Amino acid sequence: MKRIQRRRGQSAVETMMLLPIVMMIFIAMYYLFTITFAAQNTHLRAREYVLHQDTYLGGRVQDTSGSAPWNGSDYEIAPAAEQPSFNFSASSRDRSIRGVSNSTQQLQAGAYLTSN
Amino acid sequence: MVLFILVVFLAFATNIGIVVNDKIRMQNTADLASYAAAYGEAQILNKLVELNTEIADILADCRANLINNSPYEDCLCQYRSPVADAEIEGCKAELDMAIYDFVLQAMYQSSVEPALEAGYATAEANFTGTRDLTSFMEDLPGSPTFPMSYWINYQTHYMGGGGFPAIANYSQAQTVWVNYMHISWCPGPMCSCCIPMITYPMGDQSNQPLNGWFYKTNTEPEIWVEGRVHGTPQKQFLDIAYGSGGDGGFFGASSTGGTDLLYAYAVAKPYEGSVGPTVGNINADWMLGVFYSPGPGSMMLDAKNDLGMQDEYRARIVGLNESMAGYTTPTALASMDGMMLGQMWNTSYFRH
Repeated sequence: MKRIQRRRGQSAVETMMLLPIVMMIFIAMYYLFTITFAAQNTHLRAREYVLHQDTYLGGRVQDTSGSAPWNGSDYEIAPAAEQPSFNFSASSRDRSIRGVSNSTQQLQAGAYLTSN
Repeated sequence: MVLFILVVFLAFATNIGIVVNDKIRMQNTADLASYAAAYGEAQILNKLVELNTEIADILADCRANLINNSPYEDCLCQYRSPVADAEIEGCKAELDMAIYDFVLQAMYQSSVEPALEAGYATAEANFTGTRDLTSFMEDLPGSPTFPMSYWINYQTHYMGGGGFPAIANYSQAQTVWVNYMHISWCPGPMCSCCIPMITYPMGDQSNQPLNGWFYKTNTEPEIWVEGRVHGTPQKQFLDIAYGSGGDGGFFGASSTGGTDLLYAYAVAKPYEGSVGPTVGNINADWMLGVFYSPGPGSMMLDAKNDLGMQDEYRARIVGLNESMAGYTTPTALASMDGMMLGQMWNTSYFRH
């Protein structure tokens, strides 16, 4: 006579409870990675712009503007001065993070070349 | 247990991201601070071109006046013309002021120091708190920013001369000759003033050489700025050590020292311009004959074309491994700097 094995399904229940938490942790890691990566790119964009007016990794999700000692094809000649006197700056905003790209939240970084 | 490990892993990954982010910021800061210092030097070098051009222009005007007013005539029966010599004395006084202006501008305190100050200001603007943790290697002999690396030697006609630490090695053309034609009427047998004595006063040249423009004795060493920014960003990190005695460094590290500091090096240099002639490339001194000529086929002295004075200095980032002529190289300087900081850098890893 065949004996029927009884399974209570405890592992399945535990897995079902744990899975959302594990998923949430992985999603959080992905989300944090995205923020960190976007922050790095924002800093790099600002730095590139203040040196070369270069829209590094350009696209619709970022907005970079400012001034630079760059004339479009080469570094600008530094105007003669008895004391260094200059102010260049660039600001970069990144809206590439999923979930906040359509809101007012964004990453922002600045880069500066200044004599004072 | 699995959850705990995952949470720790999450914190670990986040901290790594933050540290990497700050390292990028620190490298950006080093790049921009070095560039700002080099840009400041470029501005001052272009000012030096202006001042050196002014010296050459005074000499050119002096020469043009002497040529245009020649021949100088008088009845003094002297070898030299007092009027022309007075003009030359006036030139000397004017030159002295221009030479002095150049020296004052080229001195370390008014050239390199303010340029480096711009670098420090830029470091602070880009990464708050890094001003005091930035260095441009001013303390390392051999560095172009070391106060005793480069000198300017000068001589004036009436105000003496000397040598000072400067932004680059400059010597001075001290034998720029000026000349004129002189007709002196001397007493003759029939009248009091009738015999012309035409002279080009070359026989008394020792009184005639003028101090002129500044030049480099050779193309080396070059001018460049190496910057180093270091520190531990003070931030609230996702680690438990922060709350138990750490002062804000990542992973509970000290933010003021220890082996947890982040370092970033960068090099930048002014380039493309030329303050004056360089011996070997173009004449630095000019020994000139009767109605001297500034160069083959030309009668007028032109600071830009004849002396190579180009006010076109700009600045650029330089690779750490880009070989530059000088007392040392950026990588050697970084090694020396590391030893001063108690670190042993393997500069072959410095790729940017």
